[in-house]
Amino acid sequence: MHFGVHDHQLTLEGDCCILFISIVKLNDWRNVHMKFVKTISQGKLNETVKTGGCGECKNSCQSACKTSCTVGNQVCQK
Amino acid sequence: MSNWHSFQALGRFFLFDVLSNSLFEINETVHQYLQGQPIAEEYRKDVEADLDELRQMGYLKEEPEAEVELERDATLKALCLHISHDCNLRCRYCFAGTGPFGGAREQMSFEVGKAAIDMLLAQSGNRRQLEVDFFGGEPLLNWDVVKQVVEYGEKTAPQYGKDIHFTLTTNGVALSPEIREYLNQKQIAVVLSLDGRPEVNDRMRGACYERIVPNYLALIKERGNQNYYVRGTFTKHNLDFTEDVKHMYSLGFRELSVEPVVSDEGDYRLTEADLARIKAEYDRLAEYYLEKRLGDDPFTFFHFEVSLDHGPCLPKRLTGCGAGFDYFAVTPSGELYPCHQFVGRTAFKMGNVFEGIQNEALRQEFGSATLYKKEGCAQCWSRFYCSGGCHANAEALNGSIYKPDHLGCELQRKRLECALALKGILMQDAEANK
Repeated sequence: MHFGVHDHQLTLEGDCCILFISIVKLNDWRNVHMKFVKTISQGKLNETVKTGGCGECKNSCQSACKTSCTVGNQVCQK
Repeated sequence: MSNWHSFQALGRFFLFDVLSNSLFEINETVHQYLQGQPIAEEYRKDVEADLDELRQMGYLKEEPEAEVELERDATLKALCLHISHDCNLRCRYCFAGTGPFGGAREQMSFEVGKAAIDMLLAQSGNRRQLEVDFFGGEPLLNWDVVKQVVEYGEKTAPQYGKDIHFTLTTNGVALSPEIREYLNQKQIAVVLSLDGRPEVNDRMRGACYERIVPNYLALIKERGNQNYYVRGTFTKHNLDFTEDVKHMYSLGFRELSVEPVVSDEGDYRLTEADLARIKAEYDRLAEYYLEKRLGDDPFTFFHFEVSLDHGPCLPKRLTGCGAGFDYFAVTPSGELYPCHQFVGRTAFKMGNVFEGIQNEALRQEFGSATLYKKEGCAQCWSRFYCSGGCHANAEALNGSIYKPDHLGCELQRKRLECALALKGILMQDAEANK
């Protein structure tokens, strides 16, 4: 039994288990190591300070509420 | 800790990373550890290893984020046109004082509406997508002017290279077939007021349920069941508001929003004593929502609709609703206020549609009132979802736009826990069914 690399696939030859590293995201790989934590969604909100601010998304108060600030319920228009 | 939040909802445990807007499902032991509760020693090593792994990946930061300095152009985005300061209902909880916001019962002229559209188009800078909401009072009491303003906006906006998206909020009483046809033909989004069960609705809104529900059903059927929200208010008298959501669902409505009443007086007002009951009710509502979302005929509930991967950018989340800066309310006589809820609070009058915004100092104050300037917000884990909360509610209840309403904050955090848990469960379900 040995590990061999073939076209970005790490194959555990002689076994039925095949790891497709090429399609496994880094964090999925990390999830293998995390016993009690499962990643549902990885955001990059802090990076949008550089790319955001176009002002085209919906005004949060116009859509349905009129009585509370619902910025987080809006969708980016980009 | 303000940079992450672990919580239990819908019988499961979640960890939300605030700065990245990331969500993880965790087990009860990790939750207990994060809450500072004792855990079995046999699990400690693995729990700490998992959390170290998250930290190495850049999550769970201890230090507060650096305050972002925003450079904002003072351009317009949206106007709320108080097309009518009169109403054909007398809802007990109305923050408009049953229509006139403490002033006279009057209607907006086309001249004022036209000037408002001109101001919006001329002062919106490079923005392309603009919004105009017809509000009141009851906008259908001034229907001819609504149509004139829509048609003027449609004709004029392209000359500026802009799109104006119109919304109309109505109580439905005067929603005739002709008006429905026009709203649908012009693709005007509608917010339809209904509190739920007949007895709940009619107790606060007067005996109108039997009249308005058929009008609403006809309207949404004619528009292909889209581009609307049925919007209710819950008060102390219907803390079991899940039953109202269920009722509205049973009628055939699928785009729903039910909001807590905003009031510091009256037997219907919500108080801190109601908090535990309301939180439990949001849990009930989340269970019902999940059941329907996992079934064949789902519905949307406005406060539970959050996008983890395609929500607003950080600058938007820091600055909030834009009231008083890029969003203004216009009274029937053309006066400008920071938003519809400020109308009638004369200290907040900011100008008029003919001469523009005259109180630039107040505009700059609203523009710089980011969440970092609001009491307690920088330490709150939900800060990037409510953006410091509603200026008007804070000012009305605590006398300052910088002092958020505590009850409102508690409800916001509870709704967000439900929304995130629902998102987490539904995203995993979708992944499993791929």
